[in-house]
Amino acid sequence: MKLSHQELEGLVRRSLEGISDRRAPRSLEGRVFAELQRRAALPWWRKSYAYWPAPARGAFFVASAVFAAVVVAVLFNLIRGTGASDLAGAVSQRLGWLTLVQSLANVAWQTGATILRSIPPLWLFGSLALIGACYATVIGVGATAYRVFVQNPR
Amino acid sequence: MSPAEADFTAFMRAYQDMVFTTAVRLVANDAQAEDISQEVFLKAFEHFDSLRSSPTAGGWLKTVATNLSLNHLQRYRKRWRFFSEFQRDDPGGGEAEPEIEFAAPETFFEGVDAEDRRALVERALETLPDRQRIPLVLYHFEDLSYDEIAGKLGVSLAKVKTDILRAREALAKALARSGTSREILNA
Repeated sequence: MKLSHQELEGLVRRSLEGISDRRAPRSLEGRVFAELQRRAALPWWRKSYAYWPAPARGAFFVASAVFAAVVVAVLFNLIRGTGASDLAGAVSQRLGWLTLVQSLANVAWQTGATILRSIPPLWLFGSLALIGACYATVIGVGATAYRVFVQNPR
Repeated sequence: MSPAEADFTAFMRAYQDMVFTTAVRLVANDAQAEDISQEVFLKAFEHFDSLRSSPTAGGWLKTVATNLSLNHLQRYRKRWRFFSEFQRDDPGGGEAEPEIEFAAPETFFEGVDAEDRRALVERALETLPDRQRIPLVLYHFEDLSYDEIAGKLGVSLAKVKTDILRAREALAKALARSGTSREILNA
């Protein structure tokens, strides 16, 4: 007799109903308490913020607010203040080497583009296809070997 | 031992079997299930003030155990998905009648005692691949609906239904093969 979906579901449901729980390992309770003790022994500043003492939390909050206010004030003064152009000049002087790096990158880019243009497209796309095929083969062989020898060794 | 520790010990002893069972049915690995159970009780300790007198503490623990187990499996799955799960499910197979032919018994375990039943089910579940075992456990043991399972696992409703159907077939075959029901099944 062939079971229908409903009959199979009913059979499985009835079979699984009331299955007792497995006994937890005896080591579980000891592990939990050992970890709780380890955490309790940590100094407050190594625990998460929620576990910091109230004065430390308050002080941290105030210090963060002051720091944020100082950062905002400094940025505001730099942008609005008279020293903004002086600062921009000093920064651009110190970062002058970036211009050289940009020039070198441009030269490298132009050279690469020239070389690429000189290669026949057939060779270029053929090479890319070959590299892709090799990559796919290695991944495919690795995945198949994993499934055959590791996941389903029988 | 302080009174708080004694209370938490009693709390753990009341629920540890349920938490461990929830985890081990999902991950099918004792060591990983113990790690997950430990994590569940560490979280419970953080909320112990509200849990100790809550009538829904068991449900809370079960939900946390389920979510932590699924998180663990998702992490593992992402790492190994390509290698272990790249065979396609037959998309049309879900609608076919199950390929199991036997006289329909009341259960698989007539005449089998409770402890043996549990062991047989655990063993049979361990033989199922993750993609079948997890939705089956969520449906039949955690009483989640197909929609809830699809949401939790981030897969389509159709896939959940197909996987659970396949899982039932595979579980039925595994239980039939286990020998206890040979008298009532002509597998």
